[in-house]
Amino acid sequence: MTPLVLSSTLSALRKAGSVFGVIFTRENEVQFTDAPFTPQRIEEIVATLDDIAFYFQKQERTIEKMSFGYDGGNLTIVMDGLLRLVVLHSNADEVDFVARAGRAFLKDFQMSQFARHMGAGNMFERAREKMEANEPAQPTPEEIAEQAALRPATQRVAVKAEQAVDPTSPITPQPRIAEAPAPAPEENPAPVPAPPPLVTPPAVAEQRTEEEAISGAPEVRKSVPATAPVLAAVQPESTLPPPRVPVSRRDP
Amino acid sequence: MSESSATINETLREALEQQKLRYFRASRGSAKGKTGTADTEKFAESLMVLQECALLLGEKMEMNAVSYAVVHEANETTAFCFDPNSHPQNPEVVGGIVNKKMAMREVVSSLRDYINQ
Repeated sequence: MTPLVLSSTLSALRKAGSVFGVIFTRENEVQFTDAPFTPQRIEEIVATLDDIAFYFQKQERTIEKMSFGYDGGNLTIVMDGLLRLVVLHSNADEVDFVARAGRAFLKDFQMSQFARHMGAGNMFERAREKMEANEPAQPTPEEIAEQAALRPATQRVAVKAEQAVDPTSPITPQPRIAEAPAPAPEENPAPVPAPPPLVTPPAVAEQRTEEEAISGAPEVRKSVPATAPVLAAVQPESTLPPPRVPVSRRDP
Repeated sequence: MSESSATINETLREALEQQKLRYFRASRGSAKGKTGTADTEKFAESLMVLQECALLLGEKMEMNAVSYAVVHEANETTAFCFDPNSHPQNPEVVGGIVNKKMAMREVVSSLRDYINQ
């Protein structure tokens, strides 16, 4: 409810029947006032009303409406939580009409506040979605390379599956890439010593000349066939020194 | 004594069942009713609070003479009305409690009818 709507609604109530004053407050804060009192007097009335509401709240009593008749007029107060609407009217017979109108106004006000909060919540949600949309949805080339190094077989099959799909053809369900099931853990698994890093397949090692082995600079990548596993770039090379050859076995 | 208490309880029970207004009369700091001590004490407490609220608010608005007060609380309506026929030096108050939300005008009208009986 905008301030304009609030003021127009309460002004309409102010002009209804024998009403001669309207004060609308939230706790101690005056939201709207159109009453024949000075601002200081209105502040005093609002403070007194807040004290009364606090008293009932302390007693765990929920007061909805109060009406008092005086020699100079009638005072009807409608309460809804922290919201309080005070209406001054001269005709005592209008007390129920005034109370109903006040209750309807407070309900509308609460509903508008609720809608505004909901709208604000949606706005934040939209902003969050927008921020998420700005983030790169596709992985960066570095991430792709890293993933390829970590899981080369899966990545290759996935790329092939993507290439096989014709963009103009209807979408057909693709078979899922079945990864090898993880081996079931054995009961009471015995500690297994880690094998030394396999740098070169044994078959290739036999083909190597002894000079290459002595020099300590084996061309591992050249000699590895395409089907053999390849070390990823992120994995560290073996830091072990090349195997030593006894001097007695060396050729003169 | 026990017969009297049983009658009072019966009156209160009937009033609660039929959601009728229970009337009370108060003057000089004492209240009288027909629905038992506990119910009369409850009215006396509500009357004190309502009178205090009426006086506090009336003082701020420069309106002093309180003629009636009605309050709707949860599912109960409490009201009091000054008896204009009572002596000004010794004013009497007629009040009522009903266990439903009753129209304020109707409550005040009922109290005035009770006064004029």
